[in-house]
Amino acid sequence: MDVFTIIFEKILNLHTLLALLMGVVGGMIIGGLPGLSATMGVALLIPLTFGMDPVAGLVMLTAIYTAAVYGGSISAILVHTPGTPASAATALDGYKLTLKGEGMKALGVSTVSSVIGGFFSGLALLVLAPPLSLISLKFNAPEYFLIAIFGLTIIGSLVTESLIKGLAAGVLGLIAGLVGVDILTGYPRYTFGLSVLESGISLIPAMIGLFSLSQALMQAEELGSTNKKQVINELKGRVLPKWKEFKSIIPTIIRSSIIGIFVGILPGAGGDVASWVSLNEAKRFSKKPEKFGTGCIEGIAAPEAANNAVTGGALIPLLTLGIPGSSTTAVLLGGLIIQGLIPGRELFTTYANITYSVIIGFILANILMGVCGLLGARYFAKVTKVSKAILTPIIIVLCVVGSYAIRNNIVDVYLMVVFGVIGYFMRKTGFHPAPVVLALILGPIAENGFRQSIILSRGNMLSYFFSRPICIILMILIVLAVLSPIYMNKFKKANMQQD
Amino acid sequence: MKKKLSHDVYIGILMIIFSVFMYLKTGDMPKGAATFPKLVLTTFAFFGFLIFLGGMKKTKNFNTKEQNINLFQKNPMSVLLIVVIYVSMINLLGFFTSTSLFIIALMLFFRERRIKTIVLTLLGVDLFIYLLFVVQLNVFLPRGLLF
Repeated sequence: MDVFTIIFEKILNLHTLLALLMGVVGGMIIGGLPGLSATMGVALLIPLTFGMDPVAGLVMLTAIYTAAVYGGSISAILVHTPGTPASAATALDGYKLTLKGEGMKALGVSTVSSVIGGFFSGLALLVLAPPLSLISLKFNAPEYFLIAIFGLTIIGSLVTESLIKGLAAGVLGLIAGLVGVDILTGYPRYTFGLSVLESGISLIPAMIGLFSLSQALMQAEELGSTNKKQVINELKGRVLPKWKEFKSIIPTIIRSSIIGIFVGILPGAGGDVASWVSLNEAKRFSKKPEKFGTGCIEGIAAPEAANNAVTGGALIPLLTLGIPGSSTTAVLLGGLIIQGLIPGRELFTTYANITYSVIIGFILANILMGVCGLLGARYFAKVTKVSKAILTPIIIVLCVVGSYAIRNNIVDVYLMVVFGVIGYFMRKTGFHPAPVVLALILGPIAENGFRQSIILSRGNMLSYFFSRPICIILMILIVLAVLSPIYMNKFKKANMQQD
Repeated sequence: MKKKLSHDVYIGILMIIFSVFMYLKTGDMPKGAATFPKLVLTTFAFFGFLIFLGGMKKTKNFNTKEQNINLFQKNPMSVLLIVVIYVSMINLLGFFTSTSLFIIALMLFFRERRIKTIVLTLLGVDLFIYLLFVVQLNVFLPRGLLF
């Protein structure tokens, strides 16, 4: 049987299609709820994928990722509350249109642009990822060590305002990753005599606690603060943009998609950066830049195409090199590893059937997102009004059942609660849980690479590292990653002020 | 008025104490197993020191907004307590019984008074978990005294 038949068989079956639909609808809802993030959604649903076929499971997770970004825009447009930071730029023109009574038109433009942006990024993933994965063939122990450190530096330097706290969170994750029996010597490290800790801290419960339970606790904070009653104007009119309008935004959509894909590939610069850059560029290219901010459709098309294009772009370094550029992709990496899939060349050779099916599934998810969006956007808007009193218990119960289901073990539930508390206090004190999770995943890779490098270098590690070209490049990238927040902050400030 | 120390000062100190404690533990480890932990813990202590210094600096530039972060707010801590009770009851009462009680307790805590909403949420969640996890994914959820 040729590859195409296998791929189509893997995707076009009831199981995968249902997972796809669940991912898209679930993602749109999670994205639309302010305070809930795509990362949290992916973390909550990973336990479900455990018992699923890898293709169905991973298609569902990537679908949540892209649909959550789009869902965030629905609430940005209709109630001026961006569901995700990536949708903040959309709120400017989107909400203005809603105020003018053209909310449906705004939703239509957002849907079409998001679908096209996401679709192009899926194609880019399909075309660019296989050749890029060849780089991973040149990796040996020192490169694996440095790539893990690079991944941690990137996440650490970008998710929090304080670089030191971001990096410290990463190191804390590395420490947590030390727990368990050391593979090479058989010595139980930091188990404190508890046999449950011998196999190490299990990743999924830790992840669910850090991202989902901690967020539910954060939600409880605002309890009692007066809930703003959000009035959604009656939504009328056609949702699909007219042909003339569509034609006028095509160049903007294509330009923004390219920007989005490129920004997505760069580890660390996420959807928010891409959408602001695209909005700026759209303004620069426009004949009537003064229209922006008053409710013009290009002001929606630009950030919308870009923030969805980021998703496919961000999957490229994730699948080829194992470098996640954001907290959501860090969690997705956990989802891959659970299925026994290690990023690198093997994904495109040995596991090609699975990988290509997932990529095609991701492209389909973007199209399905458009269909769901055009048919149901006005109903999704209502979801943003669901009260915390209903939402919080549901999230917590899902945290509990999800952590339990991984190994049918109640200890994992206790672990989840412990990490939930750690995550909550980390958030409160300006740390971020994402580097901890990534370090739990990358820790063993980093340690193995480090220990093998010591042996290979015969005592002189520094000169050994400097004798390998890829190592030198990686070391330069690590330095750049440490310096990047300074530039990124300046850039963000400059953009925000302009708008 | 006595200046309140920034919480970063305490965090920094905690990080250093933690690193030292964990570092001492590496003494029992075989040589190969101890190298990486030592490297990681030294780095952690170093970051702890930097955060401590940053905290001292913040304390100097006294900023009320920064100082007023209350780490132990009443509501999240109460929710946490309810969660801890819930989780510790699962093995005793069984998953579905304790989950149902938890949902009722938490919804009441969130000042939801409409009985219909509570019952519908409860039934919806239990049914969803039963169909998805028990029927579809064959997860054996803990049974307790009742069912």
